Amino acid sequence: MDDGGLARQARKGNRDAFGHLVERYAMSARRVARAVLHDDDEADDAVQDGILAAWRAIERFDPARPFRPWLMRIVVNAALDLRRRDKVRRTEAIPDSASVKTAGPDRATDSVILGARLREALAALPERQRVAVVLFDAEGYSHAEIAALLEVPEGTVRSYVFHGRRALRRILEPIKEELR
Amino acid sequence: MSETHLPFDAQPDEELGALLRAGLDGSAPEAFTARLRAAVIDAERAESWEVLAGWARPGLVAAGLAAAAVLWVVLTRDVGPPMGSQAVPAQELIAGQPATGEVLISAVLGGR
Repeated sequence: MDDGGLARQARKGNRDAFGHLVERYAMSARRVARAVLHDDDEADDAVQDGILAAWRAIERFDPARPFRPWLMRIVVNAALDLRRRDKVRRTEAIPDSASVKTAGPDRATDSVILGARLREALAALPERQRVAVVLFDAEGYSHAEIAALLEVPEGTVRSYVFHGRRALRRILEPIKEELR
Repeated sequence: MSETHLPFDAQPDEELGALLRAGLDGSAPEAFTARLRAAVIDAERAESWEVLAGWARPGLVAAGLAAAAVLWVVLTRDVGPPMGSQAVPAQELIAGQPATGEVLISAVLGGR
C-alpha cells in the first residue's frame, strides 16, 4: 500500500498502518535528526518525539499531500527543539581531528572511522547547511521540498547545498583517499 | 564526489549521499524501528489513561455536588420543628374544639 493509503488508514486510528509508515521512514528520520544533533541518543529521542507528535496530529494530515515531507518536517522541528533546549552547546568550529590522517587503518574499522570523520565534518557546517545537504544528497529531497521544510526560499536552499557540499568534499576527499 | 560539480547542482551527488547515509545510519536499525512502534503503542495507552483521567475530575466534582445536596437535605430535615409542634392541629381537632386560624397558620409555617 502506498503512503497515502496507509496515512488514510492511520487517520482512522489504524495503529498498524501508522507503524508501516514509521518502518518506512524511521532510518531516514534518524539520519536527518543526526544531521541536526551531535549526540546519537538525543537524535533518536528527537525522532521518537517527532513520530509521537505525528501520530497525535495524524488527523490533521491531508492525505492528498505527500506524507514523507510532512513527517520529516515534524521530525526536523523536534530535533531543532531538542537542540535549542540542549544546555551544553558544542563548538561549530572544525575539529582538529578532522584534518589528522590516520595511519594504516584496517578494513574492519574503515566504516567506523569514516562515520566518525563524517560526523565531525558535518558538525563543522552551520545547522541549516547540514540539514539541507543531508536531505538533498542522502535522502533525495528536491530543493523545493527542502525550502518548504525549512521555511526558506528555494534559492537559499541551493546556496546551503552548494556551500555544504563544498565544505564536506574538502574534508572527506583526503579521508577517502586514505581509506583506499 | 569532486569539486568539478557546477554550483547549485540540481542533481544529488550519489557518492556523497551514500557516504552520508553510511555515516549517519547508526546501529541496530530494526531495534530502533521497534522502539518507535512501541512508543506509538505506549502513547495510545497513555492517551487512553488521559481520557479516563479527564473524566475523573468532572466525575469527582459531580459526586461532591451530589454528596453536598444529600447533606443539605439531611441537615434541613434535622433543623425542622419538633414533632410535637406539628401535632398541634390534630390535638386541637381531637380536643373537639375547632382550631383557630392562628393555630393552623402557625403550625403550617412552623413546619417549614
